Amino acid sequence: MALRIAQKLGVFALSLIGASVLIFLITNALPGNVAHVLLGTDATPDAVAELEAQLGLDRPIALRYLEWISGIASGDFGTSPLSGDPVLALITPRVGVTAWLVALGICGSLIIALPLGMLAALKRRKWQGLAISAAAQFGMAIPVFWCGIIFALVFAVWLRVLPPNGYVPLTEDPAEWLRHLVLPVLTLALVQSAVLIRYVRSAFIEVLHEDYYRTARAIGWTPLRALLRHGVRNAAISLVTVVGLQLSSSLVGAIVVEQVYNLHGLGSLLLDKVAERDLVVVQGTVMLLVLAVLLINLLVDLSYQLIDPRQRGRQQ
Amino acid sequence: MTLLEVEGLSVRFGRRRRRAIEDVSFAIEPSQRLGLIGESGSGKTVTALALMGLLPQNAAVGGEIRVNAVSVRDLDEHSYSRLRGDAMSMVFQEPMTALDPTMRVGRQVAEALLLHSRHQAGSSRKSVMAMLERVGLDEVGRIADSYPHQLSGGQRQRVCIAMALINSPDLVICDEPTTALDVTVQAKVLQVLNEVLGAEGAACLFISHDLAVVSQVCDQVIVMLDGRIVEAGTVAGVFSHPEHPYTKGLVATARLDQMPPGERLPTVPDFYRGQL
Repeated sequence: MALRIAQKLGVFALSLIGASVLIFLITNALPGNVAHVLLGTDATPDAVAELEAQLGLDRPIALRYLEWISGIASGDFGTSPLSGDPVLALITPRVGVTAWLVALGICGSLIIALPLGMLAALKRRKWQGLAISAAAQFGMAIPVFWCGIIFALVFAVWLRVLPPNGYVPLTEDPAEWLRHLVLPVLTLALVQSAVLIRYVRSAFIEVLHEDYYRTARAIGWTPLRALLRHGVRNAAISLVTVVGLQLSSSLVGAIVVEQVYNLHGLGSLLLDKVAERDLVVVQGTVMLLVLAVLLINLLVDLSYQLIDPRQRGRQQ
Repeated sequence: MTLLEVEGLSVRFGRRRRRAIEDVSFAIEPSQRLGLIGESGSGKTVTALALMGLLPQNAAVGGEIRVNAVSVRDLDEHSYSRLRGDAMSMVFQEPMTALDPTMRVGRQVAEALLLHSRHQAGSSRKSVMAMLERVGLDEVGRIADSYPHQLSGGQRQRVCIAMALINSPDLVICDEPTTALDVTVQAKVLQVLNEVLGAEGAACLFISHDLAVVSQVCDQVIVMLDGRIVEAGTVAGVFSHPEHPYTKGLVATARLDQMPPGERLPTVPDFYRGQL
C-alpha cells in the first residue's frame, strides 16, 4: 500500500515537472515577448534587444526555465515586468474567490445530482426517471454564461433578492460573502450537475443489476435502502473519477462565471494578463491551476484505496 | 398449515410479453424439502425470484403465491421486504458476486440479523459468530473481518447460507447453490446446508439441474420444462419410475456410466423429441 502511494506521488511529481516545462515553452514561444509589449510597436530593434538584455530574456531558455521553476519551488512566482508586482501578490487575493466558487460549486452539484441521479436510476422505467433524464439532457445544452445571465436577471434585477455581481471576502462579512456567492455557485453547480446526473444514474443502474444488490433485497432491504446501504459506496468507485474530472472542468467553468458576475478570481486575472501579454503572471497562474488539477487527480487516485477494499492489496 | 402455496403462477417479460413460466402450481409444507429440476432456461430461477418478489421491473406476474396463508402478491413493497430474509430467504447461485465487495462479510451477516430483530450491535456479533461456526467455517473471527474478495468461493457461499439462515426462516430458496463450486467444496456445502436446514426445521425449495444433488437434499421433486411443470412426486418415485419422456431423458443422461463405451451418448431431447 505504501508502495502504491509512493508510485502515485512519483507520477504526480513527474506530471508536475512535465506540465511546468510545457507551460514555460508555450508562453515563451509566443511571438512578441515582454520587451516588445513594453516598448510598443514602433520600437527600434536595438531598444528591444537592450531591454531584453535588462530583463534577462537574451539568456538560454533552459536557464530561464530553471530559474523560474526553482523560484516557484521556494514560493517565488517571479515579478511582473509590466506592473512590477510580485506574481504571488497578484494571485493570492484572487485564489479565495475561485477556490470557494469551485469548491462550493462542486458540492452543490453533488447535492443536486446524487439524489436525482439515484432516483432516476430507481425509477428509470417510470415518469419520474424519464423526467429527470430529460431535464439533465436539457441542462447540458445550457451554456454556463447564459444560465448566469438569466439568474442575475431573475434574482438580482427582477426579484432584487441577491446582488448581481461583486464579491466580499468571508473574513470581512460572512453574510454578504454568502449573498454574493449564491448566484455564481448556483450557476456553476446547476450546469455541472446536469452532466453529473447522467453519470450518477448509470453508476446506480449498474449497481441495480449487481448480484449483491439482489442479495441486499433478499435479506429484506427495500429498493431505496438497499441502494443507499450497498449502492453508494460501490457507485462511488466509478463516480470519484468523474467528480475529479468535473472539478478540473469546473475550473474552466469558474472563469466564465467570474466574468458574468464580475468576480475578481483567478479566471479574470488570467484573461486580463493574457490580453496585456503579461506572460510571467500568466505562467504563474496557469502553473497554479495545473497544480490544483494534478492535486485533485492525486486525491482521486488515493481515494480509490479508501473506498474499494480490493485496491488495498491482498492481505492473505 | 401449508407454508407455501403457489397456484397458476405465470411470469411474462417485456412489452412483447415473452412467456417465462406458465401455470406453475405446487405447495411446500413446513420443514419439507422440495427439489425443482430442469435444464437451463426452463424457468427455475424465474420461479424462485417470483416467490421472493425480486423479478425485474419489466416482469408481469400472474397467479397466486401464499406464504403462511397470506397472499404476498397483495403486499406492498414495505411489508414484502419485511418477509424477505425473515420468513423466507434465498441463497443464490453465484457466491463470487453475491456479497457487497466493499463491506466486511461479518457486517453483512449482522445486517441481515439486525434488519429483522431488536438486537443491539454488540450482541449481534456473538450471534453472527455462532452462525458462521454453524455453517462450518473455521477462524470465524478472521472470516467475519474479511472482505468478500479475501475468501474462497466455498467460504463465500457458506457466508451467504449464514445470511439466509440467521433469522431462522420458515422457507429457504436455494437457487443452484453449489453449481458454481468445485466438486469437493460442493459436497461440504451441501452437507452444511442439510445440517442447518435440519437444525432450523426450515423448509426448502432446492433448485438444481443435478439429479444427484437434489436426491441428497430433497424428499419431493418437481420437474420443469419450458416454463411448465411436467412431473412431480417423491424423489425416489420420480427418479426410479419417471413418467414424462423429458424426465426419462434427464434420469437416463444422468447415468452415463451405465452406457456401453464407444456408443454415442444419449441427450435429453432423444427421449422426448416428437412426443410433445
